[in-house]
Amino acid sequence: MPLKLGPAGVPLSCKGRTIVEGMDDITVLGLDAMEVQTVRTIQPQHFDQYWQAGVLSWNSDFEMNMHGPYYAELLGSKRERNRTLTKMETSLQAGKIINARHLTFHVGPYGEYQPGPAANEQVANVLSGVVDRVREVWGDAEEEEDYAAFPWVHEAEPSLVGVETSGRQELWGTVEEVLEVCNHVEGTVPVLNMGHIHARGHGRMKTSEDYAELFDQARETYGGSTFYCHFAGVEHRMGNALHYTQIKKSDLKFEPFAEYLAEEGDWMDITIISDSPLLEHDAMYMLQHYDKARQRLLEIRARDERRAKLAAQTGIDPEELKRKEEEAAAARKAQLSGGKVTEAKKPAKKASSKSSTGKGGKMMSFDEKKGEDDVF
Amino acid sequence: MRIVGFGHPDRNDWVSAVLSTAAEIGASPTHISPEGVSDFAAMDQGTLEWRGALDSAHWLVNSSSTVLEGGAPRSAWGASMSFAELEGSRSVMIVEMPECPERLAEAWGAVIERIRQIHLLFIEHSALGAIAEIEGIEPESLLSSIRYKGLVPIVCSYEPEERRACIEHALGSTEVLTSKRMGSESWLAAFLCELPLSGPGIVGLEKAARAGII
Repeated sequence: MPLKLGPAGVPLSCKGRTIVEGMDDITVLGLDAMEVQTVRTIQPQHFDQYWQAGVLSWNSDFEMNMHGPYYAELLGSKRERNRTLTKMETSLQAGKIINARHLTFHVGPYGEYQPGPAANEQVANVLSGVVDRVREVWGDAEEEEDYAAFPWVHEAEPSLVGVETSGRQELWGTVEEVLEVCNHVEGTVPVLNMGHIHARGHGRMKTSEDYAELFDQARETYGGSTFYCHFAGVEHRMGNALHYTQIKKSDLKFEPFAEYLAEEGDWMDITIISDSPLLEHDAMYMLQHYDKARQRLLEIRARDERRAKLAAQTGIDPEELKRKEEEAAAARKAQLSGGKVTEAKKPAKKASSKSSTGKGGKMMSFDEKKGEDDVF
Repeated sequence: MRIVGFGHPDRNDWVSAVLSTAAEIGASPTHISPEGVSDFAAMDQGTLEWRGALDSAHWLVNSSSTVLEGGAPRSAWGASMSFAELEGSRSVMIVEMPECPERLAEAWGAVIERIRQIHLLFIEHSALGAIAEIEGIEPESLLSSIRYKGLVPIVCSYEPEERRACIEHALGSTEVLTSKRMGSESWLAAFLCELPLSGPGIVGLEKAARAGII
């Protein structure tokens, strides 16, 4: 399964602050994706580093992505919508230069619309225009000479337009809405912000089954296998995201997601961007958990294979062999725990004798200390 | 109440002003700055031991202008917020108009990059209009927009002439008139000292916002 992981922005630990320096640091950390934040107006001086980043990503496996403006109002008045589209235009121009595989956009508040088909239709109409514009911007035959040094503009597929789920009830962007729009507009991809989905669903992402349910829903509705996800810890209340937190401090855990990806994610082409306050630290935390989940799965598979072979050799039913092994393991465990009781008494005696002679070892466990406290 | 601040060694910045007012109120502030360095920009950020400094600190106070001092102060500024996140201290960011106003966009850009690490964003009233212009939003809705989009738990400002504090938070908006005119740094220091003790909900928040009588 192709899985790419990276931070949303230049790593916090990066000494330099340019995108290229950030890409170097991300690669050193063993990660392979980045989402450039264009939350504010893009200034001309940014374009120099965008070209460099584009060239670097084209010549390597590094995946560049871009996040559009946070202040989106696609369902607002004509003036509000046009203001948002102007900002989006800048992002998609920058996305071309940086060789962005995904351009992530928010839709914003429902505005005059009620949640439902009319709002979704309006979003689909606006986004199909955005997709058309992305295709116009990429691969313009008249510009081929101008962009000779940047081959991806003509050789690569244009950026996919990512539609992000929202973390608040008053914003357009439930999972259902996003999937419906992505299903109707070719060239779009759902951006599943797990923190937002968890918050909006009152803490719904708890187990690997919850992730299975989410991606099954995506597979049935949207049909594609390319996914772009954001992951961060989140504080939430009443179905609204309040604040991003580091993953360890949130009730949204990454382990179930890692378990799901390792066990059932073979069909997916997925990019996960860490937008936690500890950007790259949490991206690495996710990578470690994914590796652990895969390792665990491989161990289970190896054990099952060994059991099947052994069963075939001995002529026993594999299920019966499994039962016997479990019984043997339980007996071993019982024996071991019985042994521990007797062993536990011994160090206590040793500790007291050591302390009485004043020659206590350098390494001492808490149990030993407790024993000392008891003595005195 | 332990408050840690990172600022200029000559202590003529906003962070130092907030810390010294907090000390008058009874807090235990710690000013972190490179020792024996004449050039702040040339400081060695590796010498700052953030884990120890932030141990059991409730607030970490930083100012947006620190990033304009040079690469090393900027790195230390960023590192302080990452360590605050790890140590469980709440991060306060003061956004003020820099000495060179044209550089506000640069300072504000650095703040935006770290917006997820900020728990309390204080925008000095003279910088409100300029930031609204940078962001392309109406000044009246600036605080709420930043809170809303950046998911910052508290975004606030204080207008000394009108004695008016505006606070945007998870439960809505709160506007409070203080009984006495005071400097913005005094209001912020009093707010920081009182907020953890003033109880939950909007009532607690209002109580903390009115606390600035020294």
